[in-house]
Amino acid sequence: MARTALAVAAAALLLAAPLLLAEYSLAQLSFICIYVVAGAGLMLLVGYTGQISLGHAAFLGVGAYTEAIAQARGLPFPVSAAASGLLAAGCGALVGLPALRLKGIYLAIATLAFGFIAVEVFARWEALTGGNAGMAVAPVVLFGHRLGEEWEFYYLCLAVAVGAMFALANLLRSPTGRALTAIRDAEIPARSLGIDAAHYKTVAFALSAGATGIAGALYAHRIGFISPEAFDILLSIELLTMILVGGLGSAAGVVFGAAFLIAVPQALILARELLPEGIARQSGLQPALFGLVLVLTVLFEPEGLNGLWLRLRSRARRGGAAPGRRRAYRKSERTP
Amino acid sequence: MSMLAVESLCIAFGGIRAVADVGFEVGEGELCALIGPNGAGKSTVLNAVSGLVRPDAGRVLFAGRDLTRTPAHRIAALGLARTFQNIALFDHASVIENVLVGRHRHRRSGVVADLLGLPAVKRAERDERDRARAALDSLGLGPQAERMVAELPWGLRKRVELARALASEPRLLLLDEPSAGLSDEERADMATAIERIRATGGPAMLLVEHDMGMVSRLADRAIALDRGRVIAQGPPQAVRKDPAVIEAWLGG
Ligand SMILES: Nc1ncnc2c1ncn2[C@@H]1O[C@H](COP(=O)(O)OP(=O)(O)OP(=O)(O)O)[C@@H](O)[C@H]1O
Ligand SMILES: [Mg+2]
Repeated sequence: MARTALAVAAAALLLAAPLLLAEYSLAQLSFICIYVVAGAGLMLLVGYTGQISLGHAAFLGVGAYTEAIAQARGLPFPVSAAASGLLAAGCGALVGLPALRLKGIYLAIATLAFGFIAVEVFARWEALTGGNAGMAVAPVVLFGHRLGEEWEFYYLCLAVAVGAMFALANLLRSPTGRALTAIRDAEIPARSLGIDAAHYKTVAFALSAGATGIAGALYAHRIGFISPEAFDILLSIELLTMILVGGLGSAAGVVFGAAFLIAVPQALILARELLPEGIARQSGLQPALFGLVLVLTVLFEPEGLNGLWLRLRSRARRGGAAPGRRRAYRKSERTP
Repeated sequence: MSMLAVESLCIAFGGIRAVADVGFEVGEGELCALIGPNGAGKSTVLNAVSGLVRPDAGRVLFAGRDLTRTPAHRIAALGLARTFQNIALFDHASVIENVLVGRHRHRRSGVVADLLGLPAVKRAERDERDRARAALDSLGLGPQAERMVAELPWGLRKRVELARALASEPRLLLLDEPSAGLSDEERADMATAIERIRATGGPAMLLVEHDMGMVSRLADRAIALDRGRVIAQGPPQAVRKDPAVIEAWLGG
């Protein structure tokens, strides 16, 4: 089958990547894997449960700082990474509390506030975090072996990303996943079918934050040096852009979105050489481009890159006949 | 003991007294019809029984248990299922996925097991799918199982919603106008389906219905509401001829 062939080819390419790519490109691929882990978490919350979060960079930060601090105190990576996930999940459950009462823009503001508070804590808790001076993070040591080479760290990130995608797929095929999407699509009927909406929203926030926390642990090692402003609102917006551009409510969209997030800055680096000096030097180029793509996505392809991919694929299959757009996911709140 | 007992229920929205001192019972295995003109308060009674609306006064007893302050999801877990007047399906899911959500109260696995995709979860999932299919087959919806709900015509969606409610294996089923918007033929099919549910030892039912023919055919008893009050109750034929009911229907 074409599908299996495609999957095998993709797996082979990912496994062979260290042989094919230069060190710099491999590092970018590790970044994509890390964003996939965080994206799987955010997609679960936003794309499948219908909640919003403008504070996810904070969970990434909680994971990153936990990892850095735990590693500095000699904890082995599996333990410190698990601690990163669990601590972030705990914060997620707490941040989820307002979600039990707030919706839409109000929830967005509450999560945004959490993001600001977290950055403030990273900056002020100097004894632990080094404050604004930041913290250097040494390479991962896994079972006594130091993952000093780029390819070693890449395989670790790849393994975690594959694990995260499997976990997301498992969840979506389970009663928990159905409960989450039921809450997203029509909360009142969901409750009348026995779904404890408050419980499941809390679960969604915890799982989402947990995955993002684990991504944060890898992120700390990837960038090698963490400081509070690395986890500010801009990163939260980037994460949200990632899943929106990738395609809300699709697991494949996570991967597309992560690739997009890494590809854009790379493309900008190349483009800068071609652009006139005055424009190329502008520092706001990247956020502006993200914003533009986000607006275009919402206007023209609400299902994001995944929707685009699905349509191109079926067009190729049917030999030119373009199928209609699938109905985009839209939250419908009904009262009985 | 009755399956459902509603005692002196009062519900007001702002200044509107939607339900005023309503009381009635539904016995085990009984099918009661709740009738009344538009705005009489029928749906509001159903919402109160299923925990979606908090009554201002009065009580709701389900199998002898006071559920007046119990949240909707817990009431459902105790074995109460319902359908909605305007259909409340999950449009972004297939027919069978909708019915599977109806099975929620029977879930056995926890979140962590689901996340890991443990073999026990997969086994339970196959089992649940079989039951969901059985519920669909029992209403003649087998061939529609994999279709998206959004692409089904209204009549079939009404049926899917009934299948979803039945899949939860309720002890009490609330149906809010199951025949609303259906053609004569679909209406007859719906009546037959409800009769079949009863013939196979189904749950007690409280049925909101405007079609008096259907009420007479299906119900053991009818309760007539007008402007939030019970104006008559008893055998459907008798309630239909009650002067208060005739007056309410003619112009109220
Ligand atoms: N959520 C609400 N907020 C305000 N008023 C409401 C609400 N729900 C119902 N009402 C009012 O309560 C009264 C009873 O409404 P209800 O929907 O229970 O009537 P009904 O008997 O089901 O009517 P129909 O046959 O039209 O479905 C109406 O006057 C309605 O406008
Ligand atoms: Mg009504």
